[in-house]
Amino acid sequence: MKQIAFLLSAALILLSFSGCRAVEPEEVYLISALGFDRVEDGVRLVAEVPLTRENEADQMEVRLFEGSGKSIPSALEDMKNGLARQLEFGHCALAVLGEGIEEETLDWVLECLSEWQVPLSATVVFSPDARALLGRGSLSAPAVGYELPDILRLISKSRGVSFRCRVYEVASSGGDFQIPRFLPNGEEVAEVDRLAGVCVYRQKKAVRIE
Amino acid sequence: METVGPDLGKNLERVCAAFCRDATFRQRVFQAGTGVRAAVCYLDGMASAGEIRAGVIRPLMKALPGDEPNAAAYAAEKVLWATEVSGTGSLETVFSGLLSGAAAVFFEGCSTALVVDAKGFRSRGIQEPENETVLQGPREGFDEVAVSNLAMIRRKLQTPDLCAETITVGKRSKTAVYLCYLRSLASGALVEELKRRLANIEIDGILDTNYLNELIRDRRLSIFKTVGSTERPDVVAAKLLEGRVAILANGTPVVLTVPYLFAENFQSGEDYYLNFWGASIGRFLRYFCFFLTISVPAVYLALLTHHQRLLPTFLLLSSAGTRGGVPFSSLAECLLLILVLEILKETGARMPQNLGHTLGIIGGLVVGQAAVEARLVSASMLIVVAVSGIAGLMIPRLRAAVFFLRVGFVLLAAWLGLPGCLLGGAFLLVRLTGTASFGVSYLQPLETPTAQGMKDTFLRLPWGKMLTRPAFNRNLTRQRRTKE
Amino acid sequence: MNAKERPRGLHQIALIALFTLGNTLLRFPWANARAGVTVSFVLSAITALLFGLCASFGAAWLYRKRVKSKKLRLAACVLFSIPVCALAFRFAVGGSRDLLLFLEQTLLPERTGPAFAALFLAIAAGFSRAERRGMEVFALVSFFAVLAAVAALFLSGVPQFRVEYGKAELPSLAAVGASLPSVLVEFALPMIPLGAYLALAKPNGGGRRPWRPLVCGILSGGGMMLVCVLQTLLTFGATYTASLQYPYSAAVRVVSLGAYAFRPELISYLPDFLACLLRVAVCFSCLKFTVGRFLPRVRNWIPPLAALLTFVALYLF
Repeated sequence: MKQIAFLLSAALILLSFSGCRAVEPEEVYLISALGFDRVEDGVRLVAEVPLTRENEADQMEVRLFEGSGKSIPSALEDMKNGLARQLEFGHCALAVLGEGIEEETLDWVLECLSEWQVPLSATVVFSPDARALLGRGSLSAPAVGYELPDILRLISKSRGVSFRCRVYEVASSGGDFQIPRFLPNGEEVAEVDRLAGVCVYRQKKAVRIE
Repeated sequence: METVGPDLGKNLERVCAAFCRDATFRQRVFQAGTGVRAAVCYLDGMASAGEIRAGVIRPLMKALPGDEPNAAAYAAEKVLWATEVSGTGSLETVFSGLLSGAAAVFFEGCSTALVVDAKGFRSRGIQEPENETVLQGPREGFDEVAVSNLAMIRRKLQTPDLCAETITVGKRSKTAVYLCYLRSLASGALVEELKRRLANIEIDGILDTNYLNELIRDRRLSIFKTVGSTERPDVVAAKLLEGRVAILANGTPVVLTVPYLFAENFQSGEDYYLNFWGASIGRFLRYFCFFLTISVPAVYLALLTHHQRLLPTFLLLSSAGTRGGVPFSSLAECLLLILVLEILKETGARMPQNLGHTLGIIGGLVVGQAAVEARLVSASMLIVVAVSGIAGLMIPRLRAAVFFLRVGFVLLAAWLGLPGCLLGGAFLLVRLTGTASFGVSYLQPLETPTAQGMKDTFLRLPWGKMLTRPAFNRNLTRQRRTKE
Repeated sequence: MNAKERPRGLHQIALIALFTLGNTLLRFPWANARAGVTVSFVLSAITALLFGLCASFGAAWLYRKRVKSKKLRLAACVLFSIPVCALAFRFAVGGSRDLLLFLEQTLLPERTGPAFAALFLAIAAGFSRAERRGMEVFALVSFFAVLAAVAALFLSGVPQFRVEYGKAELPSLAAVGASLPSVLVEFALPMIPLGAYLALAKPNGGGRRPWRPLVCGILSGGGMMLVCVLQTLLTFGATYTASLQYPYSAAVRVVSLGAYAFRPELISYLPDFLACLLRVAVCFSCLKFTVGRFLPRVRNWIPPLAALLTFVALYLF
């Protein structure tokens, strides 16, 4: 009995100096893809968020949140300002680098991805306009963030060459790596998934191969 | 202490005074043989009237000579037909004999009374125990009479090595408790320790062996069983053959066995009657289900509320979708469902069988489907708790422990997430490794793991491969059979 | 080997292996390791073995001799017990701190660090306060769990390996020299309290071949550690690995079975937690047995006291 009393009182003491800080799944925005665009006065950050409708777990809608700032953290702060829920980066499957990111900004991007705990296995692609690519919507998967890695996997399988480029591969390459390049194409939704060649980075500079 | 006197009338007066408020008390005074007056007393229902008439009164009236100076000794030796007759000068012995179903015979002018065995109470008879049914194997179960239970064990172990010692426990109930063991296999120290613990019991009455269980067990507040219980004679016989000791008590079909190890919670009598492949799958599944039943709700809760990064993406999305509109937090929802599950289980166990369909409808439709549709609980949490509940049914011996562990793990997970679950697991192991059953480590054979010991732990290997007995009685012969 | 010896050996091997793994997995000094890390690792494993054997035999010899003179006893105490106790306490604090920091950054909910630390230390003290068998059984169960987790993670990580990272190149002496001291501190030095614990906890002085479990245990622990090191190096390469804070944890996070389905990362916390818990518990036991030789009456109170001091050290210093 003494033991039980001791355990109960110990549990109460411990509970009293640390609260139960659970976050329910409906209180977070799950980010499926992140886009980075270079804009005139800094960086634009775009996040793709799939949402399930209440009572209809199989039906999803996708929203895009964006924020701009002189640096990526300030862009994130700008994005967070209008949001009612927390952001969860742990399920981000795609990082889209926009035009103009290829040089010094790439290191910032990698630093931020690591800080936000974006999975190192997330796929990195290149696009002239990250917001336009993410804003196209997807045909076969709930979100562009989950569709493009699937497309790359299929293409890699059919051609026998790996087109997938992951965050850790970019970070560990020392500046030389290949990155698949996607073009968002006007109003034709069917052409969203067009792989428009490979962008080769050498010495932190992009060399486009069409 | 009162003694039996030569005056028959006074003896009868004293016995009548002791049982004056007992309506089942019967006495008959008669003239035995050629003139000696005698009286027979018994309790109706405990002793058989037919047995007394044919085995006591009739021979005494016919054959007792009148000139015999010690009528009691003569009657015991030459007249009575009963199988068990003992003479006594103590009225206390007479009373205890009467209370256990014997008849007492007094003679005029004789200071010795005879206690004649004439037990005549009815018992339930041999039936299959409802809680331990098997698909294949013996179907007999114990009943409430300890002596016939001992006979059932003896029928399986026909050796003079089988010992059955008796101890009376209970100040008022005077319940006969039997210790049953195989002398050459059971550890002498274990038997002595058991006797010491039984002798130290001070209680008014023993109505079931669980009274004994709670009074003699190690770690009395532990949520784990440290004394085994069964209603099957074949299981008891198997345990005796492993060097364990069985405790039987009058009035209950439940027999206790000691020492009881953690691994026994996952064993079933049927394991040994089925093909070893099937038995091994069952054994492995029970361990797996124990792990599932205590950890699944906690791990799911930890992942859902603290480590959403670790959940598969689409599971998290659908969980978020199904949780929308639920008024409770995930923790409250989980605890509520565990409580409802326990209520359903308890109701199912206690209610009359013909109401089973009603319970199925209420449990399945109202608590399950309707609660999800009414957005009281989320479907995913309901599935998780139901899986945990079903897995828990695989190990009925750990029912109470599983409930407390499940709730404990859920609270730890809600508080500290997955590290809380890991801490809970480590704490459980600290407790388990510190537990012993009658001097034997509860986690045997993990404490001294041998290849032989493991063959009947996580799996059940063929009999031809199991050459030794469990390691806890290793000071005695271990060879179950010699290797061909 | 008879039936009585074998199980004890198996328990000890498991205990030594997990102790060897300890918080080394979290503290492995990748940053200044680069190419020389594997060679330094093998060298330090050999040194660890030597340290362990020396401490074990040294302690056994010192305490088997009945030191009757008070002066000699004091000398023995100063020469042996104080450094051993200091090391044991240092590694108990180090192990707890590393695990706590790691979990705070990856898994622990906000502001629950002190509560976790308190419970963790209480459980470690519980293991070392209980009879030695408790810790050994725990070690045995944990060993198989950790072995299975490390092997499963390695096998599921194979598709991510890059062959070019595995090219064998002989590191320069300078590279080995740069990485050796830090690997030695993390890997070989803890063997001193372990050796002392093994020698002092044995009631009969260790049986016929006291070196055998130590060798097997360090080889098994070092083997598991090597598997983890290889998995990290083959996934990320030496350069990128050096830039990560918890490289093995990161390497495991890259592994996934199916596109967005099951993440085996979940089981990667098992080796870290169990090995750290056991290392801290063994350190507490080492304190208990070392100090307990001189103060037998308070022996059972040493683990809780050590836990309390560790907690204070974690949050005050």
